[in-house]
Amino acid sequence: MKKRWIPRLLLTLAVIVIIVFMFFPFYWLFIMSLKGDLDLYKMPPDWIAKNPRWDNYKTIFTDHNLGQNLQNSFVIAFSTTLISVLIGSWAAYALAKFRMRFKSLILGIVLAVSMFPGIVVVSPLYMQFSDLKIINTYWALILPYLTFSLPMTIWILQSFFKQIPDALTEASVIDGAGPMRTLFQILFPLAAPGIFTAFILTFIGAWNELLFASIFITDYRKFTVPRALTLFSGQYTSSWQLIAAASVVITLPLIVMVLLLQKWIVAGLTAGGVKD
Amino acid sequence: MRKRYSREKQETRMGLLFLLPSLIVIVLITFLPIGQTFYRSLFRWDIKFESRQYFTGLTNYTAIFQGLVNPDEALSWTVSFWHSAWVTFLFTVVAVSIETVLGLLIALIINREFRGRGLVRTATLVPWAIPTVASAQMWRMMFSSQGGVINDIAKKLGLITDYVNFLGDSTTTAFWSMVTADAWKTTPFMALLLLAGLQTIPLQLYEAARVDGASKWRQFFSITLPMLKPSLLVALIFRTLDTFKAFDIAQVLTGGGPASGTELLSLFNYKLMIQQGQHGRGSAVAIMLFVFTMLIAVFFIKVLGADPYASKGRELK
Amino acid sequence: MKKVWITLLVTVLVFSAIGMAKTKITYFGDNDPNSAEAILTRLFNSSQDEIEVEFLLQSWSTDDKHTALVTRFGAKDPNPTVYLGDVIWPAEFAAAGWALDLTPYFPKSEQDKFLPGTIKSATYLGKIYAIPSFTDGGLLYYRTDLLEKYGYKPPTTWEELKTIAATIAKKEGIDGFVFQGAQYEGLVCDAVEFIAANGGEVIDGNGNVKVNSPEVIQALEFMRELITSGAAPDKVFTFMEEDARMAFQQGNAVFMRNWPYCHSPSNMAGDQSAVKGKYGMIPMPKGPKGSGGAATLGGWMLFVNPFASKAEQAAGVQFAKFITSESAQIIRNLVAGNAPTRIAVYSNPTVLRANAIVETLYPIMINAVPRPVTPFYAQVSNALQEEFHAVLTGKKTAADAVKALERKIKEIYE
Repeated sequence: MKKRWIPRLLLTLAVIVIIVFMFFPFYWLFIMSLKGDLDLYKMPPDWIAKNPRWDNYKTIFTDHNLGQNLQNSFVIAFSTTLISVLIGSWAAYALAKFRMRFKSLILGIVLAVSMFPGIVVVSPLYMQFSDLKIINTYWALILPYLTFSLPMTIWILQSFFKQIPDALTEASVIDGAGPMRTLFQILFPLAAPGIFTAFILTFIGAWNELLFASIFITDYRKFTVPRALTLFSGQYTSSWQLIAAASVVITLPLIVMVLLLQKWIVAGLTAGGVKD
Repeated sequence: MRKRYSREKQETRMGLLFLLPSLIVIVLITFLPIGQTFYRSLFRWDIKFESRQYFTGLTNYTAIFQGLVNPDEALSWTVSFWHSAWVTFLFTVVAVSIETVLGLLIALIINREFRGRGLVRTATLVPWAIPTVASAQMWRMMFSSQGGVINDIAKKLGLITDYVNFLGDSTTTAFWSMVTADAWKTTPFMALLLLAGLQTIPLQLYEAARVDGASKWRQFFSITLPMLKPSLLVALIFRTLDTFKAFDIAQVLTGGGPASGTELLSLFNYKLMIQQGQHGRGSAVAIMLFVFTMLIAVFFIKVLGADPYASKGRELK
Repeated sequence: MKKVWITLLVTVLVFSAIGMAKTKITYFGDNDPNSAEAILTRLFNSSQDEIEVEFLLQSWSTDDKHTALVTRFGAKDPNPTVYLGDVIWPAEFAAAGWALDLTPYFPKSEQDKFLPGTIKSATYLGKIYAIPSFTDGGLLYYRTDLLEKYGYKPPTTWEELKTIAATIAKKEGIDGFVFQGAQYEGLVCDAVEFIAANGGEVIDGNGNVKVNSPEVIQALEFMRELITSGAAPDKVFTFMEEDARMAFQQGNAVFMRNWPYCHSPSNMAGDQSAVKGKYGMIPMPKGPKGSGGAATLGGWMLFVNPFASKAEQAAGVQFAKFITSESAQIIRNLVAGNAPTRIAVYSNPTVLRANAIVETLYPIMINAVPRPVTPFYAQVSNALQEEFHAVLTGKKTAADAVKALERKIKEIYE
């Protein structure tokens, strides 16, 4: 009885350490984003922003076009997600509910594709995209982003569809509903958490991607946000406060999304294998 | 009997129709390009100079092999390739090991009942969702010898006497900085996956063990670990592959330096192919990267018995 | 009859439409939308009504700019029509067929009005591929107060630099000579200066590898001696421009090798500096076998894209000439403080009144030497960085390093 409080204290301490470890870097980023030129390099550094310069946040939008970059990222990530979920859900439906051959082969292929290193496809895709004249358009990123988002979507959705009793889909087919109607009227509502999960994961993946974004887009007006971050350094100098401010801005939408939808994300991550 | 057969046939046909759009996309943007990359790897193809665009067969691959067995005589790009491969291998092993151990520790802690547990679990998602580009910039600032907080803390604790330029001073400090930044971002995520695994272990097992008088350590090694193995392996295979392919972190944090000490394979490949325009050699390197990835997957599935198919929907309670 | 009229009318309309349409071209300039570049572009657009230049913003990083252009030209992209490129690019872009031969538009008589080093950089196999826009050169910053205190004159030879730096560093408890010693492009710039100041070179104008020579070995050995003698601290192994500037600006170094940018109101001449009014700038000292100190040439020049249409090329040339004209260079100096490439601007009274430092820079810029002119500059530079760093840190002898370099550079040329 007497010893009970020791493990409790240790547990509390451990939890505090975890929280600090996870949040302190983000706090530091935020502090950096409010510093002025001269405080940036000061040693020892200030742990709080003594004269917070909120102007830095204005500068990244007025002088550096971050608004346009955010819009590009949003359109690209959203379109990728939409296409993935649409055609991915058909594939997932077939894999989860149809009695058909080659099922495990196809699943194996889907899984294998999700493991490919992106750089393998870069060079031929670049040449094809320039033949198609889509370099420096949104398509130049939406299409390659499907390489990782589509397998992920199929994988997550089929595992969710599988959990829905066959009796429901079969009843729907017997009622005379075609497979498309069954998919959208029966499976979609029931597998809503899965759809949300696929949606969020794909969106985050596309929002954060850097490799393809560095290659298929050379026009600054079409840069996505991760790519745009590289614009804030000078030839010899770095505007750390602007890089920090921009990092905060591009991260916020994701944090909000994650906090709002965390339950679905967790469910989806553990259902759909483990892909980030 | 016949009816069922024909029904399966009918459903197969219908199923293929549903699969068709996805398969077309996968073939067009993945399989076809991989084939083209392999084809290009049989050439010397420098996009800058037409005099350096010709078929060479397997020369690029034999050169890479030379770089391994006889580095003193080999072409310098192949030596750099193996250097990068070694760096990537080390990074993957070290980072994934640390992430797994810490992740398991965190998962065991969160698995206990305490107030605010849901909050902590949610918080673990935040580092994972931050773009690597932003998190790498964040760590770059913290590691800096000018205005960096890690130097400040280390000096106040008496660990260092002079401020250290962690990312530039030596390959060792830069490498460990990269590992730290990566672990920060992925450990919480690992913890979350392992937590899901932990929660599938029936509590009765622990009760029975307690009745038998097994210690906490015994319980951990004879119940928790074996029961956790499937989820652990699945988490490991995906983390290993992702870490092996990592690009952003090295590109943003160190740019591959100093002295190529943090030049991961994807970054080396990017520099060779995109920055220098060596598409032939770069393609050969890309194919090697692809082969390595497949070898890792096979190793996990065949040797360790990981079963990525088996991961079914497990809801967190 | 009717048909003839219609044909005539259409012809007139078409031609008048052509006459009215402006030639639209694009320009890959400097990053900052408020920079001198953007101002000059606007000025050009309003100064005439045949050509309209669109300013394309891009990354600051030289590597990023290079990558963006390589990817574009690899696909024969006609844009950008004109681009601003680093002094080390002309040979590479010319050999690849990605830079228009400007010899017909940029005759010898005109070339003579520019700093000779910049022209040498822009020339490949006897033809000129770029027009120098602004320049940069390495120089020696020294602490006037400290040299006076110990009774030294500013150094003109390597030995003097080494002795003064080591002595004052020891007595004052600060660093002696700081420079760019990290393994990156900056180290190549610094080493090329030492090599040229000793009469050596890495690759000659005809592409022959000249690195294995007593002059080069001696220069590299001297760089190592700077460390072993205590004249330079070993932390320069990781120093880039900004690290050196921080050390010097905080008053922690006697000498610094750096670019002219460090002396600007926001840096060392301003209120945030511990050395304001306590330092001077002179050319780098000379080696035992050299005839004078050398500065590595930096800076940027204008190229025209050969994949653009003929009309666009002509417009592009006109724009490039405008950007590099005397008046444009004066404006650029006044707005951004960039060092001009035209000799005449160095004696322009307006410029001298606004930026007195230009007078100090002239003797340095007129003698500035290009880095190796080679189509494979990036690869050659990588090899140089590796080997120079190995010598500086004492991992290799200078003699071994130049032998390895000779082999590596020959491999690159194969």
